[in-house]
Amino acid sequence: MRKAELIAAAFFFLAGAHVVQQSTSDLDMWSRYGPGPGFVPFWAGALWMVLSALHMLNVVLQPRIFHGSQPFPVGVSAVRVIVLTAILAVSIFLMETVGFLVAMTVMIALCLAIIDRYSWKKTAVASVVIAATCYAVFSAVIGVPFPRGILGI
Amino acid sequence: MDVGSGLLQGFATALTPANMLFCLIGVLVGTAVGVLPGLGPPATIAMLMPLTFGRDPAAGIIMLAGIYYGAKYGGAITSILVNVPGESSSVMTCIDGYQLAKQGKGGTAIGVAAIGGFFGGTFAVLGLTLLAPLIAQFALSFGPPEYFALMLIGLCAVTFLGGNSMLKGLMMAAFGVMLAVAGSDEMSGTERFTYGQTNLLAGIDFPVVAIGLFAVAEIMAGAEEVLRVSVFLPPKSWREVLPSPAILWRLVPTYIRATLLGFFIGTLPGGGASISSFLSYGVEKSVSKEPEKFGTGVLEGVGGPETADNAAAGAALVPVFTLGVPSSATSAILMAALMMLGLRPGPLLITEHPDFFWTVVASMYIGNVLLLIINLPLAPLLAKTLKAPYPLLYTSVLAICMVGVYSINNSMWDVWVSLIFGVIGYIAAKLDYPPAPLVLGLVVGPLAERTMRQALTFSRGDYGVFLSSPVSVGLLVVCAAFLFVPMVRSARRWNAQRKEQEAVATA
Repeated sequence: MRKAELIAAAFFFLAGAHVVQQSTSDLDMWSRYGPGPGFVPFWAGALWMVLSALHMLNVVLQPRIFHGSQPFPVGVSAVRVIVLTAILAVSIFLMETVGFLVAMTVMIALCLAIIDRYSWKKTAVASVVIAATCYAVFSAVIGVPFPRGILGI
Repeated sequence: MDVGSGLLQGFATALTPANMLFCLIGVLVGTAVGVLPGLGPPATIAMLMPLTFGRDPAAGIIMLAGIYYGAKYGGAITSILVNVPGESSSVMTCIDGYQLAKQGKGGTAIGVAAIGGFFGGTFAVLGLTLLAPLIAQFALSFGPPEYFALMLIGLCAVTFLGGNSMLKGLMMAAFGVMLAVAGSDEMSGTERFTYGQTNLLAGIDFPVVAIGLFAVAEIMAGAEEVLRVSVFLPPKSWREVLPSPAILWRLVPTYIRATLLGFFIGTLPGGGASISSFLSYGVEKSVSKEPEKFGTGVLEGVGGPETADNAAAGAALVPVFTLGVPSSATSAILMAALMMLGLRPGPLLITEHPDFFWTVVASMYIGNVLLLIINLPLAPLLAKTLKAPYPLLYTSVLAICMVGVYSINNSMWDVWVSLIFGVIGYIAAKLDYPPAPLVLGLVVGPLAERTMRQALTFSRGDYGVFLSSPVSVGLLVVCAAFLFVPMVRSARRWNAQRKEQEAVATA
């Protein structure tokens, strides 16, 4: 936990430093009449840096026994989260090519079949029903023009 | 328009079939969200917000507010029968609620919670009815410095929403502010932090971030293991849910205490429903003649927290409608929904859009009655929904997330951004970084920036403008207290930990 905490705080610190640098180099801190577009980002970035530094200090000085165990899952649990994220990313990537409805159906089917080990029969029925219902509600109620793919749906 | 005629007119509009339907959908969805663990009101409101676009703003907010307070009722059922809080504010209900379920009194506990929820919720709407016009009238005299101080209070309130660490809460709020400044600067038109991406010119929409942080991240966390929900002795008929008159009479003082406490805490920035239910449990235990029985299945331990939770939920809308300051992630999302529907939350809302305001208020009275009707006789049916297979549930939520996010701007970019925030939210949750302050920073950040720049422009850069009025000074003092109190608390905890370590070392 301690290492992860330090990495996260360091990331926040660097992000804050980047914001401060961008605010001073690319944006005006003051305009003719008052604060410019760089004013708030500069102070927010600086505050981010100070808070991250304080947090890092807190983590370093805090007794080791008060740091929790490993925060992220390992083994099968980690694989399940990674597979889910990959399925989501691939489905979103495919949405404009194969169409929103098809990609969404594939996404649900992959989740049910790979992560939850549903039978292919159950998977097929559930994925088609869920995807079609969501799609129909949003396109019928608010007329959203979802991307259509090579199949025209 | 005075309160009486405003409310009557509000009822006339709220009772139209279309508005009643939106209210019913809202409270039904809210109850379902409360019952089913894993999906909270912030994500649901953000996901379903696109359904309200292009419609009458009152109808849209009636539905979204229904989800908000409806979830409070539903959360009790899961806490009592499954020992899992459907909502963070239902944690205290688990303690005695589950014990009652184990003794075969789960139905009575659900009934006590629903009636308490109705009591607290209705009183909170009454408070909103009476107080909102007065507060709005007072706030009309506020200028940019006072508004900036108010927004600062909203941001500092994250110290109470920040979970275990005030620093982490503040860091997430600063993250939200940083996200909010990305895009075109509304005062000068200058591009900020767009990195040449045209998609970023209009900024990052908060529902996209909220859906990622609250829904996608939650589903990722749920994917870690196979979730098995075991429901403990659900009530078989509505008769089991209805408490006896003697029990209700005994609980009247509890309901009154919890309502007053919940309403007071709910109106405070950062107060929120969770704190009020925690405090209410403590109060009930301290006034009880048999405090040792708390934790073994005491009806006061269910009625108090549930009543306070519902009262706080209604009360949290007072600062949103009258001052434009949200006190929790859900009320921040509701406030942003108001802005997306073309309304400006704040003191002018009641004067400029009285029809809207009174219709929403009237709908909340109706919504609470609907919720009581739904939750008492339909409790056995609602309990059965807990047996719905989780895989079908989370894949449905994922599908709604995708279509919901895409519908906001008809943009695939938003879908990607939502996935990215899902991953960020998952990592943040693992490292104990709370997501609520980020949403608050994202919503309140632009308002704070605008008012601060307006104030400094009027004063030609003189920072003394923030100390020029007693109201502004008072609000800044409150701000300082928000930061100072948790700091002292942290320092004390730190000292205690040090002493504990020394004791371990010497032992």
